[in-house]
Amino acid sequence: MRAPLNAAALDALKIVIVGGFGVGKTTMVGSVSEIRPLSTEEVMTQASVGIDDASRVRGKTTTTVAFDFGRITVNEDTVLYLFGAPGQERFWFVWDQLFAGSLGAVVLVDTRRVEDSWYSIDRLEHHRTPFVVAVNRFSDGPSLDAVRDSLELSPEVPLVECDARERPSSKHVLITLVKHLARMTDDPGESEL
Amino acid sequence: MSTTNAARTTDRDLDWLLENLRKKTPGIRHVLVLTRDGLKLCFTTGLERDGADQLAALAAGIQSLSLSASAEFGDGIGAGQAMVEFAGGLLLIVPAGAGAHLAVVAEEDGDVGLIAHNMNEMVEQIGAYLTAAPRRSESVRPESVRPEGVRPESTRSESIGERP
Repeated sequence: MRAPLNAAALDALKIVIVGGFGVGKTTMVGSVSEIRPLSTEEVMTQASVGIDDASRVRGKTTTTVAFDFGRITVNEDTVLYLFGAPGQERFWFVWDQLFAGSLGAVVLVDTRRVEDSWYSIDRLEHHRTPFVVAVNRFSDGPSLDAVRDSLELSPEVPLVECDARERPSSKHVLITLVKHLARMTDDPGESEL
Repeated sequence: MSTTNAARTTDRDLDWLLENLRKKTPGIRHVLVLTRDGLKLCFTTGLERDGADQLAALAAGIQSLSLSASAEFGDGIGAGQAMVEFAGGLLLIVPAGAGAHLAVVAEEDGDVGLIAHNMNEMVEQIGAYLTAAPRRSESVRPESVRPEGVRPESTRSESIGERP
């Protein structure tokens, strides 16, 4: 099953940004968006202690409860509409709506919690949505090769490093994705998996 | 005593108030108090735990989007009221005490005016008890005990198998 927008010209692309809890999805949408980003961050309450593990996310006090939205013009004929998914399991029901019509995805990874991104990758593979993986570097960690092994990524999936707080770095991730999508359009055999 | 246990004690105390709201208002099926980050605090018995978890998450999402709408097109003050109509039911959400919302699922032909009135009345009366305090910032685990992110012995497929 192909995404409905796939046949359209490459001018307005719906992109989803996924990944585990506290990996930097909202930060990335906020840093690259050229419009004021829609953010649905809410203060984490004490009820979430024991449910949302913030022990390895320094200074995290808010969390996304619906989705983030932003927009970036990559070049004169390519505009990306960015949808940041919520990270926690209780909001995963939102993902189906976000994935509808999306042409590609960014999976953000924190190398201290690589396993948090497995669900994202499973979902994308299931939907056959092309994606790139971006390691949001919080501290020194394993090499990209080690991350690729750990995620069992196939060789054609681009894997890059980024700092989601920095606009140029986040933009580079998105350009990597656009190039990846263009390659797959040029070579449809590859996109059929 | 953990904060979670404290919250559970409050849940029990509030249960009868929620049941009371349901019983005195024709058309109300379920009543739920949720935190703004999408977790159930207390709810009426007919809802069951799974339903309460679902309703808490989606009601928090709706309220957060409502607040964003208010920030973009209104005065951006506080969380507004939200109503969703769907075949077979109605969902109404109003702000409760700090950090919490009150949600009601009602019959399709329920009297929205009366239901909303009774919901707001309840918040006025006991809103101070329908709260969810912000979480205190946790200290980060020392580097030495931080588990290694990459676990070569554990493959992705094995972990998927363990997932409930």
